[in-house]
Amino acid sequence: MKISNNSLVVLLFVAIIASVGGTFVSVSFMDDIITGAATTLGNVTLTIGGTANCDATDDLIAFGTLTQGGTNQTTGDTGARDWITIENTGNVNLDITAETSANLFASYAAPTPNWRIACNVTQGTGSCNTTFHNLQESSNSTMLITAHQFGDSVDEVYINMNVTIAMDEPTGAKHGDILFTCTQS
Amino acid sequence: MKKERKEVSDKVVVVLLIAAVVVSVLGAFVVYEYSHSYGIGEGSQVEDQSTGRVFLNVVEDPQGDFEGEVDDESFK
Repeated sequence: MKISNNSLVVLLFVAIIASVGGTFVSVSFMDDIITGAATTLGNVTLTIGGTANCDATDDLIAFGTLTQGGTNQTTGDTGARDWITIENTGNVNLDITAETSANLFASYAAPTPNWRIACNVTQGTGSCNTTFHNLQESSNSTMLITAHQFGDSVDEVYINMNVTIAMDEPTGAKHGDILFTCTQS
Repeated sequence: MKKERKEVSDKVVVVLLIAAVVVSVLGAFVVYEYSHSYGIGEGSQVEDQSTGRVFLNVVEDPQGDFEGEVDDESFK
């Protein structure tokens, strides 16, 4: 069947009108959700969604040089006092877990007592697990803190690390990664 | 005598077709902008991740009298 140009023009006008009309209907529908354009009184209702966000604002611990058989940790009166700092940058309380994403040692893969982690202290009232635990692989991560708060001045938590160098660990530079997972409490 | 209807040219049809497409895309953009500014369809995020790093340098122990492997229970 051959459609004449006249028919096509009519159909195109219908398509344009339908498109413009559909846009107005959609925008009008959204305007019904939030009202705020009244000339004398505005009434805005909105819901702010909860967002779990965390950021390692100080993500590096550098232990320096250690001998085979040596040990060091980031807590106590001696040793490297250089914690990892995690800030709750969202608007909900967080449970924070840790796991290895890159092994620190060549001689012992996680989980090993040669590489341990613990919560040091929190600015807020969250439950900080200060007992050192072996860093685990992803299948069994370690809970560091629960209900870590998000408000200003209470949103930072400091993480401790403890390392012991095995005698059979090859000499040289070592680098390990820890993945922190922050979940809404 | 029956008056013959004048046929619209192909050029007019093409122009209208382009106009229809432009209006359609523009409408979709307006709806998207409106919904985006109102946060419609944005769900809450319940999980995030961040990474920490540890660096150290291992040198030989001059005495070599320590086994290195730590007893798991000794830390508790």
